Amino acid sequence: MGRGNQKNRLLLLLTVNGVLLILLATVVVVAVCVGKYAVTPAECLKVIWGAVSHTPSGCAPMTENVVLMLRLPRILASVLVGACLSVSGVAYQGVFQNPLIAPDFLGVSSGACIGAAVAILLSLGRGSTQLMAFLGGIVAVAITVLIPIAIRNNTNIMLVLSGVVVGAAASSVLGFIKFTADPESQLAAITYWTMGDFSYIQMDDILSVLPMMGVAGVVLTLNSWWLDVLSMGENQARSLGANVTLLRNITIVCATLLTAGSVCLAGTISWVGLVIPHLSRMIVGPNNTRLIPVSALMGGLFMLVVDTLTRTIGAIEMPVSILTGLIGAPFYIYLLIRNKRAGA
Amino acid sequence: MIRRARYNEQAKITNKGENAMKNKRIGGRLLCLLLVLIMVLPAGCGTTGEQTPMGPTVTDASGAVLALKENRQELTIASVYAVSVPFIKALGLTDRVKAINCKSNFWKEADEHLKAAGSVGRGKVDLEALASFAPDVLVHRSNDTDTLEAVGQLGVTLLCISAEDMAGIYSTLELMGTYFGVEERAAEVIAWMDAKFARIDALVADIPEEDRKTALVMGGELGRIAGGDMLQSWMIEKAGGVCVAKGIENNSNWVTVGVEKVFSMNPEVIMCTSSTALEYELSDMLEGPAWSAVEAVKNKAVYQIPSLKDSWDMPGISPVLGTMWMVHTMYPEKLSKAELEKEIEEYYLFLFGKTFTPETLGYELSF
Repeated sequence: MGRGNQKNRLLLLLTVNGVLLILLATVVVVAVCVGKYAVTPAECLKVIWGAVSHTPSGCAPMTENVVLMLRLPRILASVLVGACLSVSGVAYQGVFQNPLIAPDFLGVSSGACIGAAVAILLSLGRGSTQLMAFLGGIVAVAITVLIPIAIRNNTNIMLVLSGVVVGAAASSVLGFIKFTADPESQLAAITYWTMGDFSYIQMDDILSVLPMMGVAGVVLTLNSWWLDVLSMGENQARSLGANVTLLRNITIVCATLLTAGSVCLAGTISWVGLVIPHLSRMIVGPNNTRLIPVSALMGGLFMLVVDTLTRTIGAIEMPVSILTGLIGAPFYIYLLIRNKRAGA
Repeated sequence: MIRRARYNEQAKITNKGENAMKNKRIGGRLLCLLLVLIMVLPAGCGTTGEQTPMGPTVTDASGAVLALKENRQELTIASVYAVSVPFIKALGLTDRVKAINCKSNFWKEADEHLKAAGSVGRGKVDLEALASFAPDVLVHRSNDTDTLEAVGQLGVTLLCISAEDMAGIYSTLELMGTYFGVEERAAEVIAWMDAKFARIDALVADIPEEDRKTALVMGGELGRIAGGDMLQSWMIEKAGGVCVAKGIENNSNWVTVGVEKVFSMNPEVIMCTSSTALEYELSDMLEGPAWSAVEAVKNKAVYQIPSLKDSWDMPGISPVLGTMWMVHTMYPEKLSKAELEKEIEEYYLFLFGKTFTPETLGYELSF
């Protein structure tokens, strides 16, 4: 009976991951072929094959540039960011045993926004903006983690409160930077950054954060079983021989790196890290071993669909957080109603 | 359901608990690895160098050296930078515009080429739209490094301009004139502006220092003023006034000094910009009890710079008109209403080849 259940669960997991993979591949193909610059699927294939085989594609140079330098990096980045934010959300929600926690609750997004805003204010260029965003995110999380240590109350609730305080302080600093920014140019750039945007992503940007995101993602995946242990509560995890402090720190570091990497690639994108883990949990249950790959695929798929819509549906490209918010907020309300009914 | 899953996992946990120590060591190593990765992250950032072009070149406002192309008189243009529009119009380049972002509809209504042009975004460049229009050159501001990097890799040539002050306006005319092969027209426009400014100098030259009026230009919000290094403040001084914001500078940007600071400056004339939307009414100052002690309010000398459709205090050629209007407003005896109306007519004939009614432009001369 137990073995039969396990087989069924494995089959469900394989089916869900397989379906998500096929869906993701399909949306990637569609995303490569659609956009304001008209490129036929045949031209896309020629360009990609030409790039892979190092042979002339026979297409116009602008077509090659659009496919290879605009769309592919953008698609890759949106899938990567969606996956990382979702996995980060799963990890944080697991460690803090709180389904309302989003990946940026330790202040990483707020800190990253300050770093990026300072770089924009100083016109330092995209590479430096990303680096400053990353460092800003890490510094904010470091402050969040150091506050409970400083007051010798290293509990989860204190860490969450510390995150709220750092986030609020960071918002004030960001407000001051916006106040001093040139409204015609810098303010618009900062606003775009704080609302998420994939439009200027280059392959170099992705490659600069990919190793870090890859390692952090692999570590979280390998530790997903221990994440289940942590989800049971600190006392129970300790009774089972787990080094709670170390596991928690590893998870926080990895999840923070995933979020910071995402924010430095595309700015602040709301709701993905909160909603996708929930959606995934509805399909495969709370087991983190199953939840992490499904969340990663679903997050990547969701982000790619949203980004493709933002760059195709209107005459003007809109920041992605507008759409993620419009989709995420009602969905979250639905989840709350559903949970309330299930509870009743 | 969550509880049941946890119960099932607990059975496995008991067996695996002994591996905790081993995992602890692995965890420590992974933590070190992650820290190393953080240290190497900056290696991925940065841009590649560019080759210096051969033959005749120009240096744009970003410092980039651009080769002058053989077909420069046919180069097509796109821009999301609204400040570029007056220059494109003044230089007679509108028939080469493929996509543009105008500050107001006036430009599109006044020029059929601009009306027919598409859009590649507002403020931020939509790269795919830019690729679909495939212009030869994107005219953009020089301090937007993100856009400069992104557009550069797409293969579209960038021409950066900086026209936030009068020196920048002149250098932008020369730069665009040379790059697009319309040097003669650029020289003509510059000569026209020089002549107009020379006339203004002559008009206000004999005003004694003690009779010169103190003034400031108010921005979109009350208490937000044109910094002393802004174009609007230069216009006040050129028109024979004394800019009370001198010394308050913010990289040629608006500065929020607050209403109290404006009270302490106590200007005799307050002129509100028409280059951005106002979040207040002039009556807020003229009828507001708090403002009653300010000289400008006492004198009923609070105005909005014309015009609502074609801002005369926006970078471009129109500051000539804006400065003329300031002379008329501060010293009506030096430039009468009829003379100013003649100047307005000349300006639009020179730039647009036609005149517009005050209603079309959205202005009304006070006296």
